Amino acid sequence: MNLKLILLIALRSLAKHKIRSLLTTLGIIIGITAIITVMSLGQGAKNRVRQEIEKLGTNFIIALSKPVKQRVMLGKKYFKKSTLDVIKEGCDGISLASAASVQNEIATFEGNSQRTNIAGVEADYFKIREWELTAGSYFSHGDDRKAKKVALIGKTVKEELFGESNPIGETIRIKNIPFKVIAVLGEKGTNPGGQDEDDSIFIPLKTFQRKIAGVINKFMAMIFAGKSKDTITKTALQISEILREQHKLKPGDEDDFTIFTQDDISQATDATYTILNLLLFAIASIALIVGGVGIMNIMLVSVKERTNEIGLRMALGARQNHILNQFLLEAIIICMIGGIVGMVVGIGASALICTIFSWPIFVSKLAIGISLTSSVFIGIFFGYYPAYKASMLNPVDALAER
Amino acid sequence: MKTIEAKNLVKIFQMGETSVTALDDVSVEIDSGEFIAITGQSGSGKSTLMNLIGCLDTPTDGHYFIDGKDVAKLDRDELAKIRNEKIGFVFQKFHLLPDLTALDNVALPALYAGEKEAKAREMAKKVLEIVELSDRTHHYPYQLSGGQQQRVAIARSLINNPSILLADEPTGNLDTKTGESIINLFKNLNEKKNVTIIMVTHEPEIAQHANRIITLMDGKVIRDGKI
Repeated sequence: MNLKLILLIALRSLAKHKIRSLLTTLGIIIGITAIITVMSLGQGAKNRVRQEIEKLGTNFIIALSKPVKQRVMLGKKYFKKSTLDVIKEGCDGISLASAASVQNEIATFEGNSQRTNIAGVEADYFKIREWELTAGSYFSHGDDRKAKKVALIGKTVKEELFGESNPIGETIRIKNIPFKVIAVLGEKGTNPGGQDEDDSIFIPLKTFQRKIAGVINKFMAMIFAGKSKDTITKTALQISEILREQHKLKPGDEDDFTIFTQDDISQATDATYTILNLLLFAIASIALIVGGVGIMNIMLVSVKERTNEIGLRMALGARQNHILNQFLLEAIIICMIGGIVGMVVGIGASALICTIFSWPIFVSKLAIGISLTSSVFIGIFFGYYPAYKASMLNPVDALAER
Repeated sequence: MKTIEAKNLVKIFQMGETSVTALDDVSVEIDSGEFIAITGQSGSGKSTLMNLIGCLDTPTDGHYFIDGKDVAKLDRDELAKIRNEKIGFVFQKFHLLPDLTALDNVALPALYAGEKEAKAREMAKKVLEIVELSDRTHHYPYQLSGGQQQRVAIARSLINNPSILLADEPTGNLDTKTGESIINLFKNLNEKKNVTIIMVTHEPEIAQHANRIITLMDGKVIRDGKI
């Protein structure tokens, strides 16, 4: 008995009960759609965050002056300028370095005001962050040394304070101190922490220390550009060692600072998204399993209805496997049709949602693979018992069944 | 040559607490080329005997040989093979599959025997010629009359060249005239093709067409004689 004929018999029997077959298939369609959509969106979100991390710049190391668990607590802690100098001396993996401090203040221009992050940075900061300008020019090391009152404003700040008009050369006020706007920064968007990076004003570090913070020669963070991606982890370790030495920490003492590289951020967010995606996948899988239970239910009904036919086939010489294969194949066909339709719907839904959220459209090939295989597997798994039951019927009883 | 040899067949059905003896020590020998009618009232055990002869069921006790082979102890698949190769079934209600054409219905046992589809159809065409339905090969059962449906069923029973044709009340659902034509077809097959025919019927006038009548009552053979 060849496969083509069994297939034909199975298709005919499905065509005979159109509504029933459709409803049964629907369970699988929903399950597969859910899995593909969830996996595509999950992967899409992950890719989107990855893009954002790459926007932070590449090959950088950030040192913050407080360990992670103390960061929410009040009270400032600072790095010293001398420490930064020692690091620059001691690490050959560093190509650029900048100290940085930040404080939340209100900036005003004419009638407009905006509460924003005022960051004091050194001239190399923008090179490390690979942060382009849309208008104007950067400040120089000389401007920093002279503590010039100049400001580079982010896109959000520009829009809030200046609207459509040109801000270059205008004077804004921070803590009532006038700053001349010398540049508008290019758009960076939201960082992985959820902050709008464009809602910032950058001024020379020395200006910041004197005019805004009132703390000289100390700062909250350091950012470094590594010479190569391969040595970045090693360099981060070196920096950590120097910091411990400089801060006179004994072995066993906890770090009083935090160091992380771009890789650390990527890995941390990747891990988060992987867990989230797995969770979503698990939830979507439940839909598919429910669909599978529906298949089993309908196949049991089908076996019951066709007991007579099964008996006849047995009388004509059908072996156990002939009957088993026939019913198993029917279940698999329902599932495969459901799988294919679900795949199309799932891809469509993913594309639609991505368009709505203006994410890059991403269709998870893995999800398609998993869905199609799992739909066949679901067919086999949930179709086997009814098919087995059919094949084990006693021919006499089956024939006598009304 | 003996086609069928049943020795001391016993079939007991367990119905909850009570057991019902449907066949009680039945021994029958049937030669190749015989045309036999098994008669008896309902509950006499004739259907049970037919199911055992047809390898649709296994006896509680006793031995049963088809062409010298003891089939009483075979497993499901081995019995399926015997049914497929050695026995052709004709049922009272024709039992054609409604979704298949006459040709495909007839071809089914050949497919189960492992023939390729084209070959099976070729074989089906030949047996449909024997039952004079060459012009109805692509009709579905609902497009055929009762008599025609039964002829299709007979063609189906013949496709694998069985040694035995087992007919269970083959005329039960047909009018007298059509019933007669079916019986004539059996006679023809029996005489010209030397097919052994075993026919279960409760109608004495149908049974009269056979060469030998076996009568059962209460699970025992009460009469076995040539006409």
